[in-house]
Amino acid sequence: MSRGLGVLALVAVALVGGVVAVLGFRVSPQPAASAPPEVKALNADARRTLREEPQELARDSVTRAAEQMTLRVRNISCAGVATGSGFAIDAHTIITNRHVLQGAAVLELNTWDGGSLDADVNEASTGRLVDIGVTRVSADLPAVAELGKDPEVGDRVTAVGYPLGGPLTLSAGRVVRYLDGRSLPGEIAFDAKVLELSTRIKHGNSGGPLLDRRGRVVGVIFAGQPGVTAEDFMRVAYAIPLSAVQQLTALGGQQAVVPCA
Amino acid sequence: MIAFAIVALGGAATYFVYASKENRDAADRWRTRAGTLERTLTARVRQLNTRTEALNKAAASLKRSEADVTELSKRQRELANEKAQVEDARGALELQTTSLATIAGEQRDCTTGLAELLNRYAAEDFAWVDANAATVSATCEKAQTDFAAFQAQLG
Repeated sequence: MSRGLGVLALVAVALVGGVVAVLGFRVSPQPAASAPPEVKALNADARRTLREEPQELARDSVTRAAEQMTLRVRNISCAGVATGSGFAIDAHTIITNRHVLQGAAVLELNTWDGGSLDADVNEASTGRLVDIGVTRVSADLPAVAELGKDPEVGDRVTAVGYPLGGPLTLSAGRVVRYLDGRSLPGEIAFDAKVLELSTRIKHGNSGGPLLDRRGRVVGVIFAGQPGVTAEDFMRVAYAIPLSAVQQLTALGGQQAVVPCA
Repeated sequence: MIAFAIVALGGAATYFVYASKENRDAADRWRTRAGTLERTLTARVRQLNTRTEALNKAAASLKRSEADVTELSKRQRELANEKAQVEDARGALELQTTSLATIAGEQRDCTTGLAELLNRYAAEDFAWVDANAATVSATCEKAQTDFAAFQAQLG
């Protein structure tokens, strides 16, 4: 009797084991044979584009704005042909230096891309107390400057202009210090603060804009300590801060440009 | 005791059968989901690879375009500079033309004055000669001085 029950128990165990084995083996599915495709890598150009392009675009846009707003000024007078720089503060008005406009019979402007504009000498005027000149054109100017605040000592700035009447250049540097304008040599001295800069300028940069890091005009280049020859870079560059331009122009008024005889 | 063992075995068998079925169903569902996810992953990877290829091509094109634009901008600046220099020269030539016209007028006045002076001298109109010789002389001197200055300006 007990032997029959034992056999029965063994059969039951075998049955349970068999069922569990049959069903249990099917619990784990077979892994899929196909693996996902391999991910391709970006090449060096694409990686560089993604990494550097935004900064390059930002830099290019500041450069582009600087060259569009800066104009080459040609002064034809009894003394000959002289060149300087200037920049647009609205669609028809250009700021430059008084000495760039001095004695002009004819004033002509060139844009960075070769465009030519005639400025109206009769509409030109210069500051009495400061080396600033203003002239107007009837045609629309290509770009207008955005004005900024006076820079701090040590700030990075860029002088833009046409040195020696040649191609447009951008020269980066820093504000070295603020000077009392009365301490400058007699012919360029005036009663206001002046920016001393480490930017490299030459004759022809006169009247060009001084830009901050964001491309806003913060001053007007007007003089420097000359190098050994007229073609050399100035040893030190000077700019009139925008606040002084506005203050002195308002204080001293303007005078017309008189062509020399 | 044996009856209890048989009942226990029967219960265990029932439970294992039930648990096994549940496991198999769950495994089937996971397998289905895994298959779906695998297909999705494969599609996404293919999309990513397509985008990567497009980006690589675009980057190469951009590099070429940048080089072209840089070259063209450089050339444009050079031409703009040359044009400005030519306009400077034109301005200087206009000045010279104006100066030459003025000097030519002065020379003509001088020549006319000298001719008149000679005629008057030949006609023995000494009073006229005395009265105008200094003026003619001054006109000629100015013409000579201005011409010398013009030559000096030319270098």
